[in-house]
Amino acid sequence: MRFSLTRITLYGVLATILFLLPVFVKSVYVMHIINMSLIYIIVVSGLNIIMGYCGQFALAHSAFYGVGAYTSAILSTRFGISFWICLPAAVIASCIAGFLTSLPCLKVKGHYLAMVSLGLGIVIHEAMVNLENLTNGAAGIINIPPPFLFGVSLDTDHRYYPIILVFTILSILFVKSLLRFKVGRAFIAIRESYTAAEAMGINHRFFKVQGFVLSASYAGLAGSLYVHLVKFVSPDSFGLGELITEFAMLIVGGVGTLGGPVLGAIILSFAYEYLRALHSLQMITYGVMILLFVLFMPRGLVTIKDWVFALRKGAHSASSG
Amino acid sequence: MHLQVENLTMRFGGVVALEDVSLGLNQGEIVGLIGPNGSGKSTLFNVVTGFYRASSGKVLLDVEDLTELYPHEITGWGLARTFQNLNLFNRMTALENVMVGMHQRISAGLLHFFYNPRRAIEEERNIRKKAQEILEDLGLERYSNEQANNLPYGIQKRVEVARALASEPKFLLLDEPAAGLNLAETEMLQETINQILRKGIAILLVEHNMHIVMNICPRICVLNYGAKIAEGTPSEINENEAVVEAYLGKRKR
Repeated sequence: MRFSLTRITLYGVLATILFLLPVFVKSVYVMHIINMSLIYIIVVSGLNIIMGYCGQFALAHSAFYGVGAYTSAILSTRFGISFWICLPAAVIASCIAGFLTSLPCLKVKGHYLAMVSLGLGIVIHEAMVNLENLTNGAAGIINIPPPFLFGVSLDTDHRYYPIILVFTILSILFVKSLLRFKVGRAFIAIRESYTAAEAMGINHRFFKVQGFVLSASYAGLAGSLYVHLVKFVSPDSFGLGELITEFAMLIVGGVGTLGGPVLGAIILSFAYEYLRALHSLQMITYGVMILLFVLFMPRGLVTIKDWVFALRKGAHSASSG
Repeated sequence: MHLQVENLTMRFGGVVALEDVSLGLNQGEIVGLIGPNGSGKSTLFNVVTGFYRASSGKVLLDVEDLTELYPHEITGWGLARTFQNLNLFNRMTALENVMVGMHQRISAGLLHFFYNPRRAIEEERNIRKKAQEILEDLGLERYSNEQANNLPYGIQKRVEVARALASEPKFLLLDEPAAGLNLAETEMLQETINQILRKGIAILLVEHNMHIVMNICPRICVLNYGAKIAEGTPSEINENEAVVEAYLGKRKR
């Protein structure tokens, strides 16, 4: 990997702006939306691993998000365990859920995979509702403590933001580097042609399991960050509506691209808040959005970048030629 | 090294796609496998490379039994293949396609990242260099950063050969490599095949272009309706009545 000086400066400036954002944003409401966008970047990046790169149409992602959230919520409220232990525990719990889900999913492809994974997701969701001793049922868990860092309680959106930002950046960087190595290539190879992948010596079962687990770990991380932010958790947050939201973000941003989840999560998180006024029309608006994107911009908003490049190239060659 | 197919039978329900076929391939040798459409050539390929499970019979590599192995395991034993219809990873570059071919030569997995990133990076650099060399060998270096599905058909076919070679096979199974190629591309392919043979890699060649098969295969094996009907030198095959009959039908008396 080579870095030019301009690039380092560019990233440096970008990072500084990002970390100083709470200084400029006064509104607690806007800060909360920003935090939620970051959390969704992690969730959708995870979904992107299994759907975008592995090409597996897996629909249990919101359930993994819930597993992470509940693990963190239960450990911190029941046992008073620190956020810094709850977080890895949530990731591990989601990984286990992802692993177990992947096993039956290996047997099926395409639509059947979608159905099996959706079914398993619903099972997990029902468990959240009905295991009342553990999850407090539909009422949910309240009074989840905020994280502490060096004795400071990160109980406001402004204070919590840097922690979420660090995890978001790490998550994106991890996917980015993953793609340069064997595992990432194997994922994409499986997506592109799993017969050819097998012929090249890729054990597609093994790598699909890895894809599921990795994708679930992202959801678990995000789930844990989420509950300590909103300090409340209920099964409602991890149902089908949630799944559709995550999907919409991925499709609007761009499936199978690094920037797609980032764009999609930020745009739709803000859109979601400002569409609240529409109440029941909110979901319909989402649906219409997915439809329009699939029809007219199937590779998502990230393709705009290519257009800009093409335009610039066109202008360039016109001026030089 | 010797690859031996022994009394292979493959049934799909009531359809017998292969019946009691035996065929051997020695190290560094090229054998042509021909036969009319639907005679079982591709089925034989799929059984040998583990995509189909044989109904009976065996695939042996020296004394090792490969019959029950998965395709990805068979690759590890030094068998590589191309596909009848192109089967590249379309949204990857030519170079990345070849790098996927080297999958089993790379040890760094998901967790290496955390405890030994330096080695993973080092390894990755070597793999990239090697993939580049393989493309150069086949005269494809200028396409290395092109996305596979943007390449001309003839080039895609050769990238597929390069990808198969990347796994460092001892036996290469080419399924109709010349199908759809023009004259110039076909000549280029012949050159490529000779180049591979010079490296000591054995080739089993399924091909409909008789000109190529007769030209480069000292030994040819003919399938018809799933059964082997002849085996021999090109001139023997040319004169074999059963073969002529399979392709052209019986002479009217």
